[in-house]
Amino acid sequence: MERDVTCEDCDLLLAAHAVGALDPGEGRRMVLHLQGCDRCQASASGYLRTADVLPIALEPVTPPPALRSRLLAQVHAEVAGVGQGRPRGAPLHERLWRALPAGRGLTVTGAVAAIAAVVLAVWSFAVPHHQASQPGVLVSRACGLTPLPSACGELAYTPATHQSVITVQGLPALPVVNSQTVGGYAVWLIPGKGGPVLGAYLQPAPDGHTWAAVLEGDAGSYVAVATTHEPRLGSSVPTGPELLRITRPVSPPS
Amino acid sequence: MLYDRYGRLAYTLALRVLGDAAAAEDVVQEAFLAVWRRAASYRPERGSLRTWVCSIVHHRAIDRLRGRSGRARLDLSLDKAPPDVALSDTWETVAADLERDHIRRALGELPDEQRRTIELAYYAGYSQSEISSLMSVPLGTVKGRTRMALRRLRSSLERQGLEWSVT
Repeated sequence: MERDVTCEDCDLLLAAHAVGALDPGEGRRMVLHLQGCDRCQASASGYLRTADVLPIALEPVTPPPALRSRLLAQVHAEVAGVGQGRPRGAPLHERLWRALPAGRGLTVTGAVAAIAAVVLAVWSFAVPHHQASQPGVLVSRACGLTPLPSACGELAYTPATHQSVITVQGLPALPVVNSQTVGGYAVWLIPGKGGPVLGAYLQPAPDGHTWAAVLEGDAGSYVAVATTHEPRLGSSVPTGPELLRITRPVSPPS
Repeated sequence: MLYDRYGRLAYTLALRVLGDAAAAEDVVQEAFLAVWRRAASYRPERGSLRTWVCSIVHHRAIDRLRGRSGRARLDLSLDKAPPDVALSDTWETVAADLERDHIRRALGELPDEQRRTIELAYYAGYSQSEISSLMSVPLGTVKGRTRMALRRLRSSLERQGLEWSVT
């Protein structure tokens, strides 16, 4: 039978938790104690805020630019495939976050700034979800060509950020050989004159039905985007059949 | 967007814990998606956005390291442990960022065994039981060192006048 966690035990567990060093099984006991102990809740806040400075001691490393695009594409894909494939249970550190008391050592200004930052962040991520009512986002849609009539896509262009997001549904899963996917769905920028230029590869969302990619740059430089299945990644020209073509969205007449 | 503000810090942390660029990218991507999915659960009065984001990145990196959703750690020998942050080349350089300089100084003021305990836990992802084996000290000693290190670190930072950032 498990011994009850005392405040002294909990204090040690909180310090371990703050640096991510809890052993398996200890987290649950700690959270149970925290839920009924104001004193330990105060300690938790202090340890977490101290550990919060530890990443800053590291020499910064810039992530590859593609990571940002992949993240954006996945968010857009998830928005398009609303609510599927999302985790149900919150992990320990988020349960602890919720168990912590409010208002310890933070200024009103800081709290307001933090709220504003989150609101901005969420709005920024969620633009396509509300694109019909967002005047800053231009959208055009199309459905599949002869090889794959079930594919339908949407191209959303935000002039303010010069960023387009293509979201496609109805594409079959990529073939898998030896546990690895083969090839990918490429998005090609179709200029008014000249040949297509590789824009990005579509990334799958967890729902398994939605694919998305972020296209950086001025949408005025192309008239449409086309999607092909490329048996091999890296080709500078399309080699697979064109599955979908979406005309570039244009500003509505003023 | 939130990623533009904290992406570099998150990636730096994930890379430090995992030691693998591809795995670090995966963790950062998963973490920011989690932040986006759970944005409604954020409570600014409970801590800064930076704390929240780094906490998610750190725990996911450790989960991955311990094999809950990725590869398992196989080697616990001290020789293979990641290099000591305080003794690395970067530690010796003059920090351009005053905050970083303060934090490094505070870490450097910790007794060696406490600093090493924090580094093995936070930057290398070892559990307290694993640290106990690595350092050949009782588990209770590791627990005590961890707590004392965080308390001293906080006192040191406060002495240096470092404000706790909320953003």
